[in-house]
Amino acid sequence: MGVVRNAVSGLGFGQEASMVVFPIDPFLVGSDLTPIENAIEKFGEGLTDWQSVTTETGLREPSKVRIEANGYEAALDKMNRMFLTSTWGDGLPVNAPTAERVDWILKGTDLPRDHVIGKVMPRGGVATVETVAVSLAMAGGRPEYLPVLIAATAGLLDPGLQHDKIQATSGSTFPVVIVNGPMAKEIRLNSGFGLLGPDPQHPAGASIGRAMRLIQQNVGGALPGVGTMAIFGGMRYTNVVIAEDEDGLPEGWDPVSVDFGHAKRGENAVTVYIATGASNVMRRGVGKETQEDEAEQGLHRVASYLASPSGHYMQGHWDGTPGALLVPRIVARQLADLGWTKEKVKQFLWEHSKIPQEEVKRTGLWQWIDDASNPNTAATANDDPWAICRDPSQIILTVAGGAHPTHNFWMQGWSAIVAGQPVDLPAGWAGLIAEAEDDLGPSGEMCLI
Amino acid sequence: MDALEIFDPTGAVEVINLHAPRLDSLAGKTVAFLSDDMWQAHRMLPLVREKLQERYPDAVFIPETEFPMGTQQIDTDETVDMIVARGAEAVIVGNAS
Repeated sequence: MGVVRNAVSGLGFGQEASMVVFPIDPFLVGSDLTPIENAIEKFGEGLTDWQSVTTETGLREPSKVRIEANGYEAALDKMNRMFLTSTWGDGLPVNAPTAERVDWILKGTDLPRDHVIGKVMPRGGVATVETVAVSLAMAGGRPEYLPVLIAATAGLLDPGLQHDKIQATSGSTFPVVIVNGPMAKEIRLNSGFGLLGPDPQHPAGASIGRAMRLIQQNVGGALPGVGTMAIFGGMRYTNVVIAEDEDGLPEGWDPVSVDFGHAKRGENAVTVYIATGASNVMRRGVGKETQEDEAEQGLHRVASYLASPSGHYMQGHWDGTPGALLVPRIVARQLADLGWTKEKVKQFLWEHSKIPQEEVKRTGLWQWIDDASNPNTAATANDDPWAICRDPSQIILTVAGGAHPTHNFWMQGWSAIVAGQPVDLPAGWAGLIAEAEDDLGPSGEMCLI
Repeated sequence: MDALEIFDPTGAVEVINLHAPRLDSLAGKTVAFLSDDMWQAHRMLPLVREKLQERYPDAVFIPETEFPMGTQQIDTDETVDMIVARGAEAVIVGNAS
């Protein structure tokens, strides 16, 4: 019911709808439809007797909440309990989004606080600059993180990404944000060891991603089992917010933001896509192979992960992405030294992840392809072998992770497009970074925490 | 006594549409069915249509198969225009799970 109420709200109605509701059983293959037949009067009544309690249009802005207790610690505890009972938290303690803290966060942008970034579906809550700053305040954020959060939120709300569907789906999806440009280092966003977290030395990704998740839940209504049917949840406390290891890019390998036309090299930008899974792929050999054999065998092992008969590939098959492969700089350099350009790697992965038609049919993937909403994808149902995307360039290949050769990391997509947004910095940026260095120590190459 | 005054993190919502008034009865009315083609809608909607037709023999129930089907296919202005053009006075949409 929550999914439908959210969806109706997102369409600009009150958060209610005339529904006939059943347990999950009749919706399953081969189900007994007797409950539907027995409830037939309710379908008619929904069109004749149901009444909406919403009788007026207009903007509903929530009021501030006052919490009183004997002492600051007690007030903070009480607030955190209230956040859980109000379903505004994520299960972990949050910082208090007071006016003082939110005003501090808002130093991270020159945009007015009431600037509308967009509506977050399915609930249709309005994400303003202030709204996202509130979530960032809750998530332990700092002002210098706000430009990435604003850009990432705008990317998530790109209509082409169809975030309304990924918010509500059972598929346990999560947004992935890859940051390019010099500001990534300045805010100490991780591009190396442990970049998917947790990492106390580089807290920016966790805070920004957690704030995104809170926006998805509180503004967008993606509450587990009510607003989002994500069956497993997918470890989404912090989503994925990482920097590309631009210093580790081999010669001739462009940053992801350039690959997808979102920015020029050296410009600050985010690339956003939707993932639905994460796999650590052991790509290194035992060390007794030739370099050439190890490189190619490793790529074959990666390709075998991509060659998954997954219905999720339908979403991005024609215009989006099958997912992102994270390759550490040392592996990228080995590949480049052996003559592997980025394009050649993508071409290899694309060719060797094609799925034989026999497997397409045996796994039922054929029906998903044939039923795809994009007619161009549907027309590929009989291709033998079947390619997981239209073109190799759709594979996101990013240099990221610690400088160690053993593993790659694959995050399969459920992503209609690969969105991108510039990251706009405020006029007082240098001052914010100086304050961060006072608070946290040096950033960049000198970063000790 | 200490106090914290905090923002509600849910943000604003905007109601721009009100639900349509209900019909007085389905008798003699035209009702369109719309399917996202999910969750056994291909079995359920025909059943609902058949049973409602038995109760309201002079009503017209336009099958879902006469409109685009699928989550994205029904979510278009063109589909709405088709429903209006068929003279539908009410719509039953299914299925969500």
